Amino acid sequence: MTLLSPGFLLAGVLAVAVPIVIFLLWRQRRMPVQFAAMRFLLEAERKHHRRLRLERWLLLAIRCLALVALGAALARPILESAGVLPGANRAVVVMLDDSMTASLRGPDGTTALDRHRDAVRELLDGLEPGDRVGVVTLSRATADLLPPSSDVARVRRWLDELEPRPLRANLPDAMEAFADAARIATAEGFEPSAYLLSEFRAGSADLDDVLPDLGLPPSVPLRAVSPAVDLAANVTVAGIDPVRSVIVPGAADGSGQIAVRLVRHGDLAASTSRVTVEAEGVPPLPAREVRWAPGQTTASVEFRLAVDPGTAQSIAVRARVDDDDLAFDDAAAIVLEARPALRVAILARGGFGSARSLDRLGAGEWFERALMPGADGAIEVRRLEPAAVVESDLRDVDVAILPRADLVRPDGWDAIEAFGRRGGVLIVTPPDELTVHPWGEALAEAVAADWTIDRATTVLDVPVPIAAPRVVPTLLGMLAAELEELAQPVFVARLLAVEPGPRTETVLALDDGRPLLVASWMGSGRTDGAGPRASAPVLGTDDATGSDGRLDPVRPASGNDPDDAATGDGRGGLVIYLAAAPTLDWTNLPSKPLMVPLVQELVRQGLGLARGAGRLQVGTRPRLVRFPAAETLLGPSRFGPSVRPIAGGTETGGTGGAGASAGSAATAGPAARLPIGTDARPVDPIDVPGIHTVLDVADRPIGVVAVSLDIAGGRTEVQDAETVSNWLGRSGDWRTIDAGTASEALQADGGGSALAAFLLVVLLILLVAETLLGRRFSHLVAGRAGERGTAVGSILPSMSAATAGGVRARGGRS
Amino acid sequence: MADVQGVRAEAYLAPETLGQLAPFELRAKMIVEGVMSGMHRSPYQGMAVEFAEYRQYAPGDDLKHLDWKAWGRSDKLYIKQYQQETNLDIVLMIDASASMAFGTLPVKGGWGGTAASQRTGHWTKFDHATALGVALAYVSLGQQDRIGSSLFADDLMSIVARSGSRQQWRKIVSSLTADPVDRETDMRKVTDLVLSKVTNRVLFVIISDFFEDIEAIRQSLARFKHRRHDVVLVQTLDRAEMRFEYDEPAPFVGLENEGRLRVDPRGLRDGYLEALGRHCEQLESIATGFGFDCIRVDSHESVGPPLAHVLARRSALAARSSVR
Repeated sequence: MTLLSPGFLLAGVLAVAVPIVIFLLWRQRRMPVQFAAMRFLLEAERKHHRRLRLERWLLLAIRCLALVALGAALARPILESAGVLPGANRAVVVMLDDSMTASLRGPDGTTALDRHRDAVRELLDGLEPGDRVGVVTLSRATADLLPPSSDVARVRRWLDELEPRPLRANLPDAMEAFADAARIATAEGFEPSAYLLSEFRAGSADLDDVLPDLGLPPSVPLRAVSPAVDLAANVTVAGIDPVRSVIVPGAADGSGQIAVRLVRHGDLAASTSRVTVEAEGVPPLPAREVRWAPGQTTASVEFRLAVDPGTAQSIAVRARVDDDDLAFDDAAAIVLEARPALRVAILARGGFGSARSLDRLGAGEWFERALMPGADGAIEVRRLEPAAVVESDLRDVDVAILPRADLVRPDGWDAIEAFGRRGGVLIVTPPDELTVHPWGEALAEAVAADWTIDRATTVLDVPVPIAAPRVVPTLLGMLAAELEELAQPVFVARLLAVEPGPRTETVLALDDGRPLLVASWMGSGRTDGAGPRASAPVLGTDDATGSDGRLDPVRPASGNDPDDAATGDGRGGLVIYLAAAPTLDWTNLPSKPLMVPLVQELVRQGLGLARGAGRLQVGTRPRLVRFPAAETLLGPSRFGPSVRPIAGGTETGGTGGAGASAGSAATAGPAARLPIGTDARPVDPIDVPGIHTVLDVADRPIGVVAVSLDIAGGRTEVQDAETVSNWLGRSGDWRTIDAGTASEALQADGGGSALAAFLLVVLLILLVAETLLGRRFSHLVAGRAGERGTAVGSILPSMSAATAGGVRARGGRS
Repeated sequence: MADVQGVRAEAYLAPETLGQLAPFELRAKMIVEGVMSGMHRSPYQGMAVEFAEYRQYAPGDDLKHLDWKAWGRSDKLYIKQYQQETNLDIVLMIDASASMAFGTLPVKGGWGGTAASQRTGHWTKFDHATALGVALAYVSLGQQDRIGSSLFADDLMSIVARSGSRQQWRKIVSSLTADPVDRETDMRKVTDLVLSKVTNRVLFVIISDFFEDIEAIRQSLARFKHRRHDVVLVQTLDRAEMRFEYDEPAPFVGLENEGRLRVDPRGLRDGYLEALGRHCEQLESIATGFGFDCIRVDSHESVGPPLAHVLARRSALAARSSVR
């Protein structure tokens, strides 16, 4: 038996002396009473001696036992489980927060994880032989699950090696994991319990998350430590937004311009942040300061990358802010693609030149004119015969415009499908000369877009203008300020209507609501999951766009595979459909000012979305469809695409240096290699942010991708304890404890509490017995003043008559 | 005396009052006055010596009964004949053993106080017994009885021979002005000693707590009976002995060398009262069996009722034995 507080038992044993001393002192300190009728007292004493002594010692024993029982109960004894308390073995599951906010350092320099780790160690110390312990981390509940086992040493080793991860806590998954473990433990005869160790900051406990109902009986102890109350200043690099993801150096289209978005959490006092940006192959940029006003939470700082003309490579860009309490999100990185020019192929038939009048120009001509208004050479346009196009024709093409889909042969559709898989952008318009359009099926099969195109042209009785967009679409973000004005004079008289699917972004629509310009990821229309984009995210829908209505390529789309949703690489090609052929018979768009910027933006932003961003998110297994030869994901110990293979091929030494990764925690040490599976996904979730290099089977770099943090995990705001408690209460009866008392809570939840309760019951019984016996042995009933006369009178009836004043003569002659 | 100034006569007989009167004479007179004043309500009326009739003198009559005043008025000799003209011999036997020194009734400090109250501050059983004795002696002497007294414990401590003289009462008072001794009672020995000094029939009034072996008491009373004496047993007990209203555990010390005993009174009360009650019942049973009277007196109560009882007993005894 183990005593948690042996001092109490010692005190209880010592306290036994109190009634004994009182008993002895009571006897010693009484003044003797002179009494005449001593002979009758002695007679009564002789007769009742045994009973009186038994009563006296019985009372004393009960009082002493009560004190011992009280001390023992307060000492909280724990019986050895083996063979003493059947079924008392416990299966303790520790749910440990190792997410981003667990790296917050307190005033003493220790992280929240350090403190939680100490609490877990105390818990382990309190386990009894036969108990089991398991651990679930909140960042990777499914991957980092140590099922409950009696191998405590293993848990200790695992704890020693545990470090905070740049991941967001996923409490729902952790609870599911615990519930499964609890059910298994119960089935095996163990008593499960859970201890949730987290600071419950906004980043680690998103109160909008729906927690699962654990469905455990109320007897299963669920304990959670109190939420943190101390503020922590944290500035997060929320993202780097390039104007153009595909840079054409020297082009006057915003190439090279980036905006670094900052978000501030926790302490919102006035402060200053210093922002630095570095990009590979680009001259150093001066740092810029952000002056935070009190209460200000967001800021944006613009930089311009001076990329040398002619540069043709991926450019890793990293932005940093000064170190603060949370280091993980002090940096972010993206990969930009620089090339001398964008290559656009127009798959249309017909001659060039100025011989034809404007009203006879075909769609191809209009697209050609729209793409070559200036002389900056940023876009190279070539024309391809649609009936003869093959895969090799599109190999070096970035954007393909298809105004004559009716002419494409099956080989051509295969080429288009391959083109999309490489991340190309396909812009489709209905052939202007047709009324019936049978090509729609072939297109649907090739691109599997999430929409349905009519088979017949719709001729509108009255030309319908373009509606002012409610939300500026992602593809036309650069035109936001002028889009409404540009769209106003455009009318559509004829169109081949399209029915957008749930994953289709309607870029422009007519006044009557009919979609005019829609965009979708290739493969998003497939529902069998066979295609590379079967679960591609929604473009332009609420759940795929940010709060401002723009597409956020990082934000996962609910209802889809988050791994794919989180990555531009996973999306592959982008297909854009213009429902009205850009000819004057269908619409006056070609002759209006909107035409040129519209086509330019579709090409530039479409390509940027499809290929240039290349941002993945930690904690996911994205499908790297742009890199079909990918075998390994390396990183993030380097900054840039150059890789130095090492012998054995298991690790790759990084170039290190400044900006080796987005997270400071990953700046040192060898780069981790993450194999790519046959499904084109890493075998494990990527758990380190930064620039990762994609290697082929020969460890040759074939590309780079940027892995970003889930910045929501860096919210350091403290949350109200009651609110957190109510939130946790949806999953079960969680009770709040102090982190320092987790071990005591464990003991209280274990067999000790039952034994203590048993002792308290014994104590209660002893007290009741003492009260009843003490009352009985003290003869108070007979001794009450008001009852004495009656009691004595019943014993001495003659005496009571005499004392009443009368005299009873017993003489026979009286 | 009765109800004078709104005060009941029995109030004079209360131990609280008597305890403040040091001289026995004064105490006894107060008792008697109290008793006499209550006689008209007493069921024992007629105990006084009363004139019955005149008859002609006949030769041989005792001249002391001749009514000289009637002879002077009528020149005839008449003899006064009384209904009760035979006086009794009464012997007071008062227990002065150590147990009689017990008392729990506090006595207020008065202008005198008894020896007991001065020493212990309490009215003892011995105080009560002597008060009763001297009062009885006073009344008896007033009725022309011959009365004597003796103090006893395990032996006769003092003895006053029977007499009806005017000085007899003071002798008795003087002999009773004593303290109890630290000795036990030996009834058989004392009985033998007393009976050896008595030849005629006597009314013995034994005032004691009778805390003695019941067999010894029985043997003593049997000897009184054998000698054809009459006995009135006045068992004097303190209220604390009768009720045993002690609460706190304490060591109890006997007055007659019974030793020391730690007692939890609450636990022992029933047993004690049972033993005491059994003893008293046996005492009454023995006395009744011999035809003696046995009365029990609470020393916290008035001495009037027991005094009246004894006087009534005396009257009945005298009427039975001397009417002529």
